[in-house]
Amino acid sequence: MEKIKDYIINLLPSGMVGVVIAIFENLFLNPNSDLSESILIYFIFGALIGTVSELAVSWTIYKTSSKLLSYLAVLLADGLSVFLLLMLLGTHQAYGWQAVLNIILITEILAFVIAYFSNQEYQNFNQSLESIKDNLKGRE
Amino acid sequence: MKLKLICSNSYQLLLKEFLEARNFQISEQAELALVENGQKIPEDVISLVFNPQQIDQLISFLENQLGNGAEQKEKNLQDHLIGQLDENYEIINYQDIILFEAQNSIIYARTKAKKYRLKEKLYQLEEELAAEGFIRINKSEIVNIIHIKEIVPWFNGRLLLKLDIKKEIEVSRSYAGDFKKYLGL
Repeated sequence: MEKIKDYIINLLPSGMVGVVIAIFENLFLNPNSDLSESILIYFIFGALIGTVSELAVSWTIYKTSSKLLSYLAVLLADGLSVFLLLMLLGTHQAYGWQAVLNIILITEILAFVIAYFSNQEYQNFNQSLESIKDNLKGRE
Repeated sequence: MKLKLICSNSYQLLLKEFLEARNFQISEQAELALVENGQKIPEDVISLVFNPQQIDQLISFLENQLGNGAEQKEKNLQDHLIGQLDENYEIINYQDIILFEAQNSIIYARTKAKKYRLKEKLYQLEEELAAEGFIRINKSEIVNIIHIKEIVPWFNGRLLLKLDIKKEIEVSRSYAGDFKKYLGL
């Protein structure tokens, strides 16, 4: 139950980014778009990308401590999950394969950015840890 | 100098090790005795009676009185705890403690090889040992920073700590903020 709650708590902020994009699109790019449908779709995409990215980076760093592998893992995980979602939504039938490729490309860029900031966080944590350990050992 | 120990077996080993490390000789022919409260005080020797509930204070007192003057003046803080292992009590240095954990209302101090039972409460340890590199990470654990090998940012705002005893523990979401603050982040 705790794990389900965690997933939900993590999905929400990522999904809300999608909602903001949907509203932005409706206000400034395409006022004729169906706002509620856009909100739902973008929420799902945002939640999926955010959650999958975080899981992929965390797990890869945990297992390997490798920055490179964490980038590869997140690109693969996000690319695959978004591709499957697009197939489920029938995007290739409605808008063609070019649209699918474009969306996946945007996803990969977002995933890369998420991985970059996650790796920075990992580096900052461990540098601070070593610094504090040195200070404590120096006192002895 | 010779010293006589009149105490229960639980404290015998602890005090014997402590005193012999400071060049005392434990002997029945001694003129000075350490006597546990409740034991019979010998009439023919000078006796120092101690309360077993405050054995850590006795150790600190003896350290201050028996140690090299110059060294002890610098050592203002206590750097150990007294832990119980089976029926015996032992001194545990702070730097050897990897983490404190609460299980069924009992507090344990875990070192690389042993797990000691303590009489202190978790909140007391949290307050008293913050300056020694000990930090609370969830409701039931306090970790010694020196023994953390790696920090992995984990899912949903939590942190995973890999310790140098090949054990992993998690900083809960509610304690992650304070932990990051402690790291200066």
